[in-house]
Amino acid sequence: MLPPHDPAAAGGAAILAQGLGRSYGPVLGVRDIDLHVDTGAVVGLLGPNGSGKTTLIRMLATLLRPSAGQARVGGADLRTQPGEVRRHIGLTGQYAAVDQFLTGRENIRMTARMLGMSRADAGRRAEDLLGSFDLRDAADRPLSTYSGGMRRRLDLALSLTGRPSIVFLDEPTTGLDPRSRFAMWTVIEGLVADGTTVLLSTQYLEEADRLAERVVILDHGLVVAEGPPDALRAQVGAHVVDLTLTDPADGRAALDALAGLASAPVEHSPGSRELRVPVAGSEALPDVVRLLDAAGVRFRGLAVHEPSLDDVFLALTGRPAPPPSGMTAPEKDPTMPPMVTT
Amino acid sequence: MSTLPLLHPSVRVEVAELTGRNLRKIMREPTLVFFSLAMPVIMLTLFSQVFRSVSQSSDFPAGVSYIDYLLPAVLCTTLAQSATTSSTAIATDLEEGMVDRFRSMPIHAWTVLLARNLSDVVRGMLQSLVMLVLGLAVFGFRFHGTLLEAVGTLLVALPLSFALNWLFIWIGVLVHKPETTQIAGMLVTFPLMFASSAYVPIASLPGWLQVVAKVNPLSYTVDAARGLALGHPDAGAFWKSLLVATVLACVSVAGATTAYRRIDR
Repeated sequence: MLPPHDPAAAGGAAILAQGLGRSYGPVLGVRDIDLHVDTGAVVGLLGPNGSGKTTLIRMLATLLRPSAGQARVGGADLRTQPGEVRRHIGLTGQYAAVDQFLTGRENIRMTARMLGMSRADAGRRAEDLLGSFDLRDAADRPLSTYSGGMRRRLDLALSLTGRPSIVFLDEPTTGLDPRSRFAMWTVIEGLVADGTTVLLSTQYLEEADRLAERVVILDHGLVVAEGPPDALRAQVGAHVVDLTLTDPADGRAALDALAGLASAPVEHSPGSRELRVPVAGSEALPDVVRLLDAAGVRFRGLAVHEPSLDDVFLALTGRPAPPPSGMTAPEKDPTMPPMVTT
Repeated sequence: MSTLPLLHPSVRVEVAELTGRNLRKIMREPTLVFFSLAMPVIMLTLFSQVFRSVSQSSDFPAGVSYIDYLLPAVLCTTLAQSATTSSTAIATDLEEGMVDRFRSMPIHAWTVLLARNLSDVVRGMLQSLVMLVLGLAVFGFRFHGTLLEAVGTLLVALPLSFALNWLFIWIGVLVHKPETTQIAGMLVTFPLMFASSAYVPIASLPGWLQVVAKVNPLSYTVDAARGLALGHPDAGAFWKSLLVATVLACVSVAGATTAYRRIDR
């Protein structure tokens, strides 16, 4: 078996990065990343596409070489002891790295054997993992018959085969349907309960909120905020009111009327009908209506919702998150209304 | 390390598991199996008909039928051609993220490449066997020498096959796009196959091509295999073939493992 991780070697930190950066090659750059993940902690890396989450995770998983800074993962130096780092980690990337010509069981057995388990141990490990990942019925079917959610679960099972003490999950639920996403969350929560350290990247505030005790927000390769999800919420405002004006010319008046009520800067592009107003709670809704009425501003749409990643970004960076399409999404046209994700 | 790295138990397990995985992958892709086996059949059929008139030329060895001349050569060219699939396979593993998984695991980097090579050697040998059986049963091929020489005919191209697989694994790691590796493969193998002694006697080629064919490493292997099949072994060609394969293997092993360790994306 793999030697146990010695937390003392890294001063209690499973992952410790200082000034970590990567600035060349075909990957999105990241700069000056300081990261401290305690042993047994679950930290969420939150950011839109192109913010550098994958680059950071791939660096910490020894797949990309840093161009600046240093890091220790599982007590081992990332630059000088990548082989030692690999003894402590499991990686589940954005795309399931499973062998589609093998069955689920063969995939796990092969991985277990290569990690040094005997044939008997490998067989037992496969049986255990297939059971806990709800794959037992499909265990001996080729992967071509697996759904996307099943592939992701198998991928995660492969990453956990050697019982790593640190697990990297790069957007584990992106592209999954709600049911598969929920199943994945349950699996991740089980991991955490076993004391595994988890660094998880996601585009969904909801996911980070549910799984992570601390969230690190990345934007354009830089850490822009860090803290428990609740603290981030407080920064953003507990709720967001989306307002659609009847007459775009009323924008200025609406801004003035609501300035005192908003818990963070109101977003509005001159000439647009749309306003986005962070407020302390949903009970502020009547006040919004009253204030607008008093100012003589007419509106045709009003909706209140929980803050989304967009709202977090707006509050932290003063601009909306890039659209969740391609990796090299261009800067959003500032005259366009922001995308609402509720 | 106290033992030779090749003998370390973890290395044996890694190579065995990865080779088994590659072979299962080949066997479970019926279209790949079909085309891998159809290719030599088509080559034998076409070449034995298209180039048949060569046996009437004055440069051709007297008293030898064209199929007896051709088959040992096609055994060699098939192995050379099949090496190109090594680069496509490793590029596919790179593209599909399997290499990411292997690289994030505490295993030896080079076992992934060695297993790739061994499974492709096995596949190449199966192709050779199919071709040999077909040549004997359908095309009227026969060995002129001893049984030992017949076995030698089948095995003499193995070192070159192993070496070429390393070269193509190197290319696959560098190019890392399956479609591109296929074109790169043809670019390397076509001149190797045709500017050689494989299909026609070198003396019947145009002057400049004779120069190329004489230094073409595949010509040595073809001459060695043909000598064995026709019952007059060519020791010179055999040693030259072995030397070329050894040098190519050494350079390509170093290149491929270095390129694999330097993967940084």
